[in-house]
Amino acid sequence: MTHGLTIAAGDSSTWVETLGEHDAIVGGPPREVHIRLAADSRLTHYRLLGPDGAPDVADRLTVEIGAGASYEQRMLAAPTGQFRSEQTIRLNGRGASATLSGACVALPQAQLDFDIKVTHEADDTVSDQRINLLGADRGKATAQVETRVPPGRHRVTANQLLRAMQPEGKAVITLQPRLSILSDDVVCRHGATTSAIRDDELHYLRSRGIARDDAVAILSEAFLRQMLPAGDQHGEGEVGHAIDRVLSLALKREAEVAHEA
Amino acid sequence: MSDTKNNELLLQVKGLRASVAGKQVLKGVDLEVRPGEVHAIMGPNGTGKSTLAAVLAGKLGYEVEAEVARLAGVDLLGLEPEARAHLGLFLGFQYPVELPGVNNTYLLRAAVNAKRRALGEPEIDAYDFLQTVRAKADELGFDAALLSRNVNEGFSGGERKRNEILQLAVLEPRLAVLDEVDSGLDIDALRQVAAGINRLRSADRSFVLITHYRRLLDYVAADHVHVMVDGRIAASGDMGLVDQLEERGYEWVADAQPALVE
Repeated sequence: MTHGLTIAAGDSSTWVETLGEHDAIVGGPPREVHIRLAADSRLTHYRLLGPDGAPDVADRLTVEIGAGASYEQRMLAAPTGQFRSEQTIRLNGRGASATLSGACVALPQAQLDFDIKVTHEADDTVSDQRINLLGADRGKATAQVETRVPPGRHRVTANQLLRAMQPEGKAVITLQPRLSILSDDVVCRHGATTSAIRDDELHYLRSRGIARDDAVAILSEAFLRQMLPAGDQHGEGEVGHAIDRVLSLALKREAEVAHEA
Repeated sequence: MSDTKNNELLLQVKGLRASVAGKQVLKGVDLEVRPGEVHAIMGPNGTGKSTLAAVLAGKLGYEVEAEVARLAGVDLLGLEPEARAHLGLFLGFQYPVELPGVNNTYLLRAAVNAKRRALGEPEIDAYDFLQTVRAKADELGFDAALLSRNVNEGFSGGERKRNEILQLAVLEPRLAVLDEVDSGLDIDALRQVAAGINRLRSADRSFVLITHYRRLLDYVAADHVHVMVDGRIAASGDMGLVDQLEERGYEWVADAQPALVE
């Protein structure tokens, strides 16, 4: 199944894509999406996959970004089965920018695999990739994120930050940040961290009367919400409601399983 | 402000000892606080003042024992931190943590409702709560913009301490233990925080102010002043003791203990 989307020059658009409704299953051919942003266009692309969607989803996304165009992806994924997402983002025109923010939950028994490649094919391009991955007990996830700057590029900015949090410390999470920087004129920041919930944060909330399990839930939700812009939070608008619904289902499922364990 | 007719003890601590990583930090603290009283605990660095605050609030990681450690007649040491808060204990942190993604108002409402549930009371409606919390911020002269921000994220030192006082005002504890609430504050911020404390003083609410310096006590008059040295309260008195400390420093107390205890 292939989908194509072209944003005309100078246009601005928002696409809310709900994954897992009629998607290809893992093992079969992946669902393919091709997006092309013409010069000076803008696309805000939401990708939502909740625990109530198809358990197994395979997805291949290609985004071509023209001169002065801006692509912003906000992904919220919390499947109950396998989710494989291959993404190829190409900044083809001068002044193009790409921002990818991912809030992902590896629920128990779930397996998430992200393979994201961002290539700066033109000068004066900017990319920013941030993924916060919450690993529930027995959840598994791999995030392989590569930023490429070919030789001869100028004034490129590339940022990459991958963070994983394991509230109960029993998830299997692999973060693989990769940088292939073959030009000198590049400002690049990158980082990858995996941690449990900090004791001082838990103590602060508990000292305010919030029970431990509720404090863990608050901090887990906050960790994910950091990837979602303020305007989309707390049920504002249609997208806000959709995000709240997916987050609520994911955290409820995560808490139920943690409790059972 | 203290109600001297009220002899009922709000906080009673006797022989409180605490160790962390095998090192004994508190070596037998005795402290009694009555409703409405303000106590100041002073002392040099490393004498156990912050440990006392942390241990009272139930911070994990300490080995704690005491002959008596009661809040409102209830044994504190057997309680989880949240249960201590429900009982009416509030800890104002020396270094309030940043909680990115946790909205200030959301946290406060979660805390208020957690206490209400524990006390068998109905939860407060979001709209009513917002009105209440805005009124509290206004009453304290604090910028209501603090409420819409994430907890302490990007806050200046003064904003963090003001936020602690705002939380105190909303949570309405019986005993507030404020650990160096004056640290890192400029004069204006100190005055504002002190005014907040004074506004929140009442016949039912007590304070334990932990501080190194007298400048906070120039604005908030304490009923009792204590000096901690080497894990114990080595001297107690009234505000006159603060003057003596200013003149003679802390070493004088260390040399004279235990004769100075009230």
